[in-house]
Amino acid sequence: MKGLRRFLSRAWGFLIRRDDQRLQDEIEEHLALQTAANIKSGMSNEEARRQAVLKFGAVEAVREALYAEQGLPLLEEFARDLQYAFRLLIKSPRFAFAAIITLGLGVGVISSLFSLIYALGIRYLPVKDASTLVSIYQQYRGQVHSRGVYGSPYYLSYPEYLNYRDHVTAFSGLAAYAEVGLALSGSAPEPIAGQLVSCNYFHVLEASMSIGRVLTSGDCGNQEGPVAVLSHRFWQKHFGMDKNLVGKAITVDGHSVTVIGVVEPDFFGTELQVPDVWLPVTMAPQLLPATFGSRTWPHIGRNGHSPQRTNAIERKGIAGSRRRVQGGHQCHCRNGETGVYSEREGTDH
Amino acid sequence: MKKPRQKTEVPHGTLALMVLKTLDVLGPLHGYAIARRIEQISGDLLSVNQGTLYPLLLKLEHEGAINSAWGTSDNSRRARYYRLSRAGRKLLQSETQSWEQTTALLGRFFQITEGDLS
Repeated sequence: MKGLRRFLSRAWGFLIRRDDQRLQDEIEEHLALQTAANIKSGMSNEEARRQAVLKFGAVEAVREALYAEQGLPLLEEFARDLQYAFRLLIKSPRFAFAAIITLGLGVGVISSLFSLIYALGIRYLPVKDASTLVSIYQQYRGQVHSRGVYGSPYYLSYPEYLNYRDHVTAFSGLAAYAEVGLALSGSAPEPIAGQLVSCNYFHVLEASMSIGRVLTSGDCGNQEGPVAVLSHRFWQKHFGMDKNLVGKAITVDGHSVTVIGVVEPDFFGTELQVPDVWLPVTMAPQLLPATFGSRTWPHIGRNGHSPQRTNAIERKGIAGSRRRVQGGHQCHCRNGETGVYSEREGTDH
Repeated sequence: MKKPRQKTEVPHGTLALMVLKTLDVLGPLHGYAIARRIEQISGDLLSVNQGTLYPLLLKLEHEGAINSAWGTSDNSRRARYYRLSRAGRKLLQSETQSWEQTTALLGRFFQITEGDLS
């Protein structure tokens, strides 16, 4: 309270008005009184004044202390330092330029590094209920890294994915996707980023649509022609947000596909690079003829249960699929991920 | 040459207490009078650099412990008079108490002789 009052008074002095006259008057008064007292005790006029000043001490120092008490010296000095720095920088523009560029580069690099790390490792996926999503990976018991494809245990083959999707009951849904580079044909062909996804992909991620509909299991059944879902950005950039696009055909890699929908602007999928089109996984033989089957697929599962119950339920669910994958499986769980253990090396994976 | 009497420095923080007590006992005073009283009471033992009093007075005023107003001194000169406020009186009480505790404590240490501890 005391400190606050003092601070306010000083801020008043700093911002509004200082009363230097009062101090000078007081000092003058003091010296006059002391001089008079000295004269009374028998000193000459001159000596009396001299002794009074001596006794008072350094007048300027006192004035300075008073001046400081009337303001906020720290702030004032800071402002003066800033002024000084600014003047110096203006005086040597080349140095200033170099310093600013260096600082700018440093800040830029650090902040982009942070955003990368943030996007890769810290934030949740920008989808609904991201905390209930997990990605799964496989491990052979005793050989932690040997199952890695491209050095990562998160890739599974498509048959493996199907097995987990159909027989692991721990998840309310298990989706798979693979990134694929495509060419958009038209008046000006251009490369676009695509993803082949399982037809439950949008259901698992609970994406909502701007127009049209999401992929459904029927789209993977090959009853109708191939279909595509577009990203909002791609729709905006290439089709001018044409609301009548649904039902029309676009040509990717020489195959005509029917646009069935466009996702909401805030749906970006699961990877750093936002795809332009999502295609059903059944188009893989046409788009990836040589590698389909051995192609590897990252997976993402959504867990419908509360986190506390997750582990037990997953264990049960994965144990249930044991026989079908030949060889025992155990769950290896940590936050946000679920591993599938295989007991013997070289089973049917 | 031997100094007649050794003057001691004012211990840090005690000058404010002296000022408050002086104003409490003698009522409103101007700066010079306060300085004089402190010298007189200490029997000229304290070497108060009179100038240092004024920043202290301003600080106490900012803290709300004292108020000040222009007035007329005995020899009809204009002078700034300082008066203890209610907050100042409270501050004086609590400061006095803690100071007395400290001195009492130290006093006990000074009184101890070897015999008391064996």
